Amino acid sequence: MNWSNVQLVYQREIRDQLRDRRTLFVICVLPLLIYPMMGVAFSRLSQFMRQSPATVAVVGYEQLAGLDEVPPLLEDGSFARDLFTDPTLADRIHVERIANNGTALQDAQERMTDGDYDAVVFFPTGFADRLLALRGATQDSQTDEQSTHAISPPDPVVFYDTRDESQLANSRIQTLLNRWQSNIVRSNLVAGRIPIEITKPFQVIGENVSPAIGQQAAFWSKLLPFIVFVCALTGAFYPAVDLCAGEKERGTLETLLTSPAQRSEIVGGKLLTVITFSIGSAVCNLASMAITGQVIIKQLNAMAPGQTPIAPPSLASIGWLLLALAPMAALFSAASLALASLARSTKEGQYYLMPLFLVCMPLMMLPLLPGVELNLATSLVPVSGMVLLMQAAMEGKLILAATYILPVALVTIGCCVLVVRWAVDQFNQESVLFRDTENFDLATWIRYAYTHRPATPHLAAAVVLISLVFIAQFGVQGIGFNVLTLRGFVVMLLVSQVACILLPTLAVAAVSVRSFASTFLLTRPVPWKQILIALLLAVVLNPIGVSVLESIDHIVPIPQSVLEIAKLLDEVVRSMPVLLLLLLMAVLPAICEELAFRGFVLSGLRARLSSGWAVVLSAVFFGLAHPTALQQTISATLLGLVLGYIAVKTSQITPCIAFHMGYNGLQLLRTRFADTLADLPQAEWVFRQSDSPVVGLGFTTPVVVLCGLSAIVLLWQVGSQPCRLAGTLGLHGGARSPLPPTAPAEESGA
Amino acid sequence: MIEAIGLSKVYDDLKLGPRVALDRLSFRADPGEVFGLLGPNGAGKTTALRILGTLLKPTSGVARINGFDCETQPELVRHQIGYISASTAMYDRMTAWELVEYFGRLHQLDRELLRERMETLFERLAMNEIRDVLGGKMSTGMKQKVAIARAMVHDPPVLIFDEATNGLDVLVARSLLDTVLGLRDQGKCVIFSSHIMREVERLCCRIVVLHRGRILAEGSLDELHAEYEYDDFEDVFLDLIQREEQRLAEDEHSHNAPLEPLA
Repeated sequence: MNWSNVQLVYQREIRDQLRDRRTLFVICVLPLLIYPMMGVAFSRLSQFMRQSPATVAVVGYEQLAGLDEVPPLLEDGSFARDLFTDPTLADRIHVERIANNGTALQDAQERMTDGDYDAVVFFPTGFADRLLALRGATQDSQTDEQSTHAISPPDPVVFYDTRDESQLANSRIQTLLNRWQSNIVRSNLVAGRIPIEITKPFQVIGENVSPAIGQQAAFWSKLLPFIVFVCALTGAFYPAVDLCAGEKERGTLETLLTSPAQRSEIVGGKLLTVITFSIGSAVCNLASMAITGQVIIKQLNAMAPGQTPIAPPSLASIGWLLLALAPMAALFSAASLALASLARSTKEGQYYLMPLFLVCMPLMMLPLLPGVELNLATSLVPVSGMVLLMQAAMEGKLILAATYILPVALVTIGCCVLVVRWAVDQFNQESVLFRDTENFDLATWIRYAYTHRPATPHLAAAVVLISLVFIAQFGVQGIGFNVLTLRGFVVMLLVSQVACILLPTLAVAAVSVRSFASTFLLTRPVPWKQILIALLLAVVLNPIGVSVLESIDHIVPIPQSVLEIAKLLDEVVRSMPVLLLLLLMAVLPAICEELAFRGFVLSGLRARLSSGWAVVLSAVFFGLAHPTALQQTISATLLGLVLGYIAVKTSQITPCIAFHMGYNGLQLLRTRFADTLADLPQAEWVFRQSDSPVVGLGFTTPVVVLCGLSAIVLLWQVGSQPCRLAGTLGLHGGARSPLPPTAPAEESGA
Repeated sequence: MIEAIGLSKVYDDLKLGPRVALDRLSFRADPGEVFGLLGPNGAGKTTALRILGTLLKPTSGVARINGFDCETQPELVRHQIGYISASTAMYDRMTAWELVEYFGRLHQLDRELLRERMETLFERLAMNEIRDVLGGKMSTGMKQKVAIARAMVHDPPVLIFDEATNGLDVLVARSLLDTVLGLRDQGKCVIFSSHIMREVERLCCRIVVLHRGRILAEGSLDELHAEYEYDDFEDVFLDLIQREEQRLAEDEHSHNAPLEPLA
């Protein structure tokens, strides 16, 4: 890779984009304009709320005329000035006084419908009498409770309709009437020489003890990462479409491909351009938002005096955000670039925005849900983990953020590398670069795909299988197995293995591959020696697996609810005959899961990826297919790595099945016979009681260390074995390929 | 020097199954000659030249340019060639000077040398007037000139012209042909594809006639004239195509014949 070429491509693309008025407008000018415009609209609205003139009809004003003793509602043709926080606003509400006679109320309502009035306040007959009676009651201590309650309440009514002005007038009058009511209460109490505190013997004070800065930070930490990352995503997509689909459409891509620049250099230059625009767009949005925000915050604070004033986000939190922006922009840019390279034209490119949004938006929304916090599980979710990390950092929880920075960084970098690889891959594919317009016909395509199916699966088939397994597992959740009975438990195990994993695997394989033997790594003769090594490996990895589980449980304790279910299940398991238990929980999963994950999925992934990446990804999917608890997912992922390694090195599925069977079986036996094992003579040399409820009977440190060393030797043995074997087979094997798993890689290269 | 040995290219076609665009094409072109690739539309000319230009990989066979393998050493091959085709467009928002400079720098040319060479090229191709004109504002002829300058900026020993005169008016096309002859006289190895007989007749020392991915005839102009006994090369071409179509039709017929009783 020649960096000067990357730089050249980058410089050219940037200059090209900057010369394009549309890009500049969308990326820079639009955000600079849109927020001030929104700000103007907001302040107009708030001004309208406070100051728009209104006309209010007061029907039955004569009721108020006789109330000399109580504080006034109306003064000189408008509402009393002391009812307003800003007395000058009293003139903004014009009051029409109408006597309550005959059809006065009906007429007023009709005029409101015509738009003459914005609201009608109605004081019914007897309103004044009631007020006076109540006032008298407070002064006359002799009055018994009966008489005060007996007065039926002729309450005032505010009539309004659906017009904005009317709704607004209603809310303003309600506020005024409430204040008036308080004034009356106060004056009544004063007149009766009763302390005002009697209406409020005590007051409840709620106080957020976190410092004001912390409260502000919590607000901004929810809002800002979301907005900034969405801007980064949209900012990446449009240049990406122009740089890939646009170039194809204009015919300049072919020109560029004839230059000596390598494909990876071209992708590198284009990727940097897209990242620049993604970051640029996010920063422009942020800056414009900050300027507008200043103004709006001032207005908001002015509108709600007394409440904690809203402060702008701290500079440190903006700094964190900008720091996280770079990897996120890289991820979004690479994904956009790879997707956009699929498109032939910019129009087609726009279509691909939707799937990208559908994947990214939920990941960005997830952290906004209440109760979703940064922990080991959430930190492993791409995008969401980063958003949560940002939230923690912006809220000043730096220790929490530092704890999870490694998993978040690993996941983000892993995703970036994968997506960049995908993008480079797209640029190396003739079918993507020189795609002719085709008249797509589903039936023909299916027929073609079936008749021309490869010996081992394509990457797409592996992805389809994984999705099917996840969908089936999700669907099965809906079936209410009574797992607390033996029968229900057995059925559940059968369904989760056979229906969710084995059947989808066989079905997808039947339609997408020609050779079951090479797909499921069954072409080579059964390697008995390696099966033995795999079984030994299962034995020595068992104590290590247990200690890993124990340490995960220490970091992220298993939820109480899961523990309770596990306890109930344990009883069911104990009631099962040992052989049935091993058959259902060791042999069956070993066969089903190995055929699916080390057979089909790994072959499919290796069709396009290097073996290392394929093993890692298949292990991740294997882990995700064990979703009961995070502990299970992580330990399954780690086991998936070992199993993938065995599969790649031995090119045979049987050692994987043997290892899986042995590992599961030993785990089951250890928990089932924990009491017996602990009572064995010299048991304290090997076993110790773990304080983790998931583990139960654990292993002593020397055993774990010893097993670790043996595992290294055995893994090395597994790795060194096939080379010799393949070599000898290669010499004598003739036309038949001695290494079936390499077949997919070779095929894709051809 | 260009060598093609048994080049084949098969595309997947959903309806028809694998479609052979190029069927075991072999030829050799030497420095100082213009080698012609003649054939009707869809004959496989562009596929062949794209393989030479490292844009496509052959399904089988080997293509070498000055000894470098097009499939395994694409970067080295691209330093040896200048590729001009009707479908290699120019960037709309780049001036002629910028575009040629961009490609020169991608070829890692020294700045001083690049500048010198560009001045000579712009002079020779009479492009100084359009030096600062944006691609989007150029006529087809101007764009073609820029394409030639772009392809020649690194002074490659091999030049590939793929239907380069498409869409050009007579004047511009004629000047392009003159440029090609000039390149030949400089000792470059030029491969020129076209479906227009006159151009091929005017330029090429040796010709391959392609049809449906296969070679129908090859040799120098004189050889072809002598073999097919026509004065006009266009008649040679049409006769070749006609005969091939007839043969294919017969083939299909005889292929289908035994099936009839069964149906």
